[in-house]
Amino acid sequence: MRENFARAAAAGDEAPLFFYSHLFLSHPETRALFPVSMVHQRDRLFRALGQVVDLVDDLDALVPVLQELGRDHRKFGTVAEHYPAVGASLLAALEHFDDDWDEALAADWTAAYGLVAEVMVAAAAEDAAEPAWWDADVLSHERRTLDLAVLQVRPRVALPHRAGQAVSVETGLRPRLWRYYAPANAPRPDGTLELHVQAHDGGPVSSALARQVAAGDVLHLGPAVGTFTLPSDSDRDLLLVAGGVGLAPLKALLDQVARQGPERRVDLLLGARTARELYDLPALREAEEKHPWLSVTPVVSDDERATDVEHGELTDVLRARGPWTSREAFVAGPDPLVADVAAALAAHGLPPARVRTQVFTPSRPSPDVQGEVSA
Amino acid sequence: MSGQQPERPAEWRLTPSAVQGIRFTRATRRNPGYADSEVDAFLARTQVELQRLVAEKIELGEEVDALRRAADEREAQVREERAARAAADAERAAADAERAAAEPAPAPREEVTVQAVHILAAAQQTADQYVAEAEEFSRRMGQEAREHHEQVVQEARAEADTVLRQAAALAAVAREATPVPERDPQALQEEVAYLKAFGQACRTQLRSYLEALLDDVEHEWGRADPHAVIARPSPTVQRPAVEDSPAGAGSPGGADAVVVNGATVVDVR
Repeated sequence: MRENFARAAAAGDEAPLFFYSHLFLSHPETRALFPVSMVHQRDRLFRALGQVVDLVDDLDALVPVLQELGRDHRKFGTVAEHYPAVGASLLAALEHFDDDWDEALAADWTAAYGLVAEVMVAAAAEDAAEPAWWDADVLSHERRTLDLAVLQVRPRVALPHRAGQAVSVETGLRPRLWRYYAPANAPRPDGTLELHVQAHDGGPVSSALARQVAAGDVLHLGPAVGTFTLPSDSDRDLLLVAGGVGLAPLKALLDQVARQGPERRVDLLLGARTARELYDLPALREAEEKHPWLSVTPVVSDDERATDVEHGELTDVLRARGPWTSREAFVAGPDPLVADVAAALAAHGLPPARVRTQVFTPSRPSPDVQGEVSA
Repeated sequence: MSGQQPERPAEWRLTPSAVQGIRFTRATRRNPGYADSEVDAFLARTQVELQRLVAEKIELGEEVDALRRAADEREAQVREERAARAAADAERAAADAERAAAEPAPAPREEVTVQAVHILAAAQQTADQYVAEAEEFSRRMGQEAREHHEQVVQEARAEADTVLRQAAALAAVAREATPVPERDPQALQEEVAYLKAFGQACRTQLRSYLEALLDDVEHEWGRADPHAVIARPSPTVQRPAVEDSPAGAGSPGGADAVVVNGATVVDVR
């Protein structure tokens, strides 16, 4: 089976292209579940299949992944009836790209796919009490910078989540395109969520959310996923390091400390190029006033005029502050920043197990095998 | 020609039964056989009849030909119509089939041909291409807009810096030109009022002193004792003027008090 899959994977884009075309021809009603452009979709399919094939001998690891996938697929409008159709087209594609295809292989794949589908359908069915997706009203939409907006949204039905987790978001402006955003708050009594959206050039969803969505619009939200959360078995002091909208999940974590405790020291370091990028500083300063255990340090690298901030590189300021060795560290932001900070903390002597990172890339499709939201 | 046919019943026609019924009269004994005249008459009639039959036969033949032609034509027409109808039917059927093919089949079709898969794949790739181009265009526009924005902001800041620097330089120059320390206008006004009042008081006292001196000069000059005249009034007049004036100047009414003060001085004398 692995050999056979490798052959299909070697065909590159051709294999998933064949698969989807076959699926849409044999079951045209499934086309409506996908976006107009299928490029990323095709990438995703074979990556996911590759993960499944890699783990096929390790059911203990595979099953949770499949369960997560099954639950996650509910928001796309996938129902149990779609699974056999997908299976048939998958087999057709695998056969098409393999000259050595035979009955035995077909039987193996049928059995394997049957298992995959069974686990996914069962996981989806377990969640049937929960909505497949949540309609959420946009209460306010605030442009903070040229391409960054802060939205307050209220799901019409309570959306259970933990601070630091992410929810996928779809707007009617870009149907069938889901992107993950981490709410910047711990669960609130009124169920509202704060979303920080950075518009990426050419990013269809982020630019629509940052620039076109307005109060009164309705967004679709998927279930909360991710493990970027406070460990329940530790009440160590926290070190939070953010760049850009990486602030969102970290703000949620400090919100959790404020709402639920246990009270502990929380140091938030906020890296930015210019003071203008510190889009949420007033709210953070307010929290700092209110909570004696919180200290907020904005670090600006490229803006001499900025006042009331530290100047320099985030990692230098991080090293100069310290010591952080007793902390639980959470780092979120763009890739180079997260890698640099993680390396600096490792060099500082913080055990890797206590450094959690989340990379924010322009397009984060879905959680990977480990359940990480970052792509 | 055909008009002759209805005349037939009125005419005598040579028929097989008529021929069978012909009985010629026997001739005389001298002249054995049939009577010549009767045979001749029969012959004549037979000739007429034969002529008519030939004519009728030709006529009927022609009619048959015409009818046959008409029948052929009609048949051809029918055949043509039928063919046209069949063609239309076929076309409709083809269209139906096409529609059926285009419409989503509710149940999985038996066979999805590889060719169909490739056609749909090509269409999907075209769509993907268009979306990718649109996104790329949007990305470029966004990037350029941001660069432009940053440039404008930077220029505006540089300009603002220049203006601020120039203003600061001008202010420094102005400060050097008038090195008087700035003061509160209220305090300045109070000081002006005080100085005015002080001047007034001095003037009043000076006048009083001079008048007193004049009096002394007028009255005492004759007594030839100038030392007593000059030494007595001068300390009494000057001392209170210096000590009292600042106290009185603090209030707007200070001038009056000083005037009163000055008057007191005069009274003392």
